Amino acid sequence: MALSTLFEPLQASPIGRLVAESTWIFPTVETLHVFALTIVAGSILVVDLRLLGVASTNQRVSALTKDLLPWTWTAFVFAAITGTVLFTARAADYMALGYFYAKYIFMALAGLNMVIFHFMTYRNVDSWDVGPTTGAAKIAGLLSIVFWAAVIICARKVGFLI
Amino acid sequence: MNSFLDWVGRTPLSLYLGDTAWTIPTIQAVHIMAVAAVFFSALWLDMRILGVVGRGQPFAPLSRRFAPWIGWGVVVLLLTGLLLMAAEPTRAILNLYFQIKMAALVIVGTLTWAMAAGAKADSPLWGAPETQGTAKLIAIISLVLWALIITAGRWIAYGP
Repeated sequence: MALSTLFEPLQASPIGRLVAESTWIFPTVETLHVFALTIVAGSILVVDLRLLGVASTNQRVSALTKDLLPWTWTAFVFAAITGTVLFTARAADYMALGYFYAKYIFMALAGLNMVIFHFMTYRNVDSWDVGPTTGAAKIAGLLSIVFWAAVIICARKVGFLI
Repeated sequence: MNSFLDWVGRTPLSLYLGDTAWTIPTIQAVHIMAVAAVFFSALWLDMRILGVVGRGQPFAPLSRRFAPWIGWGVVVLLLTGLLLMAAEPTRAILNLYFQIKMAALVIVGTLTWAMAAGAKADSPLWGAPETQGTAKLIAIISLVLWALIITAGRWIAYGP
C-alpha cells in the first residue's frame, strides 16, 4: 500500500474538505505561509552571508545571530502551522509527490548542517566573532544557502504540480 | 491592449515557457527567493526605524547593508516577473490584484529610495530614526505596502 493512501482519510476529513473547498481559506493561509517562509529564508540568508564574510562584516557573528534567530524560529513555527493547514487540503496528493519528500530531505540536511555548526563550529566563535570567519563557518554558510534554496525550489515545484 | 497581449502570447519566448515543464516553477522559485531577500531586508530596516531591533546601532550602516539588497532584489523580481508575464500575458496584466501590486510597488519603491538616499546623505531624519515620528510613519506605511504587495502577488493566481 502506498504511503499516500494512508492520508486519504485526512484529505477527505471535514477539515481537509473545508480548506480545499473554501474560496478564501487556502489562498489566505498560503499568503501567511509566504510571509513566514520569506522571513525564515531572509533571516537565515543574512546569517549565512555574514558567515561567508560577504555582508554585515562590521557586526559580531554572535550579536547578529542573537538578533535574528528569534525571528527565524518564530517564523519557522508559523510556516509549519500554516503548512500543515495547507497539507490537509490535498494530503494524499502531496504524499504521492517526489518533490514533497525532496523538500523535507533538504530541510533535514539544512537542520543537520545547523546542528553541526551550532555544536562544533560555533563553540569557538570567540576567536572569529569579529572580522574574518573560519573555513568551517564559511562551509556552513554556503551549505545553508544551497539547502534552503533547494527547499524553496522543491516547494514551489510542489505548488506548481498540485 | 488585448491584441498586444495576444501577440506577446504568440512570441517564441512565450511559447517556449509554456511548452517546457521546468521553466515556470524555476522562475517562480527564483522570484520567491528574491521576495525573501527584499522583504526581509525591508522588514529589518523598518523594524530598526521603529526601534524594535538594533537600537544600539546607527541607522546609516544598516541602510548601506540592506538597501542595495532591496534595490537589486527588486530588479530580479521585475526580470523574473516579466518572464512569468510573458508566459501567460493575460493572466497578470488584466488582473486587479496585479494592478494593486504594481501601484503599491511604485509607492514603496519611492519611499525606500528616499529613505536610503536620506541615510546616505546623513539627513537628520534618519540619524536616530526611532526618535522621529515622520521616519516611523514612513516605516509603518512601507511595511503595510510590502505586505500588500506579497498578498496581492499571491492572490493573482486566484484573482478576477
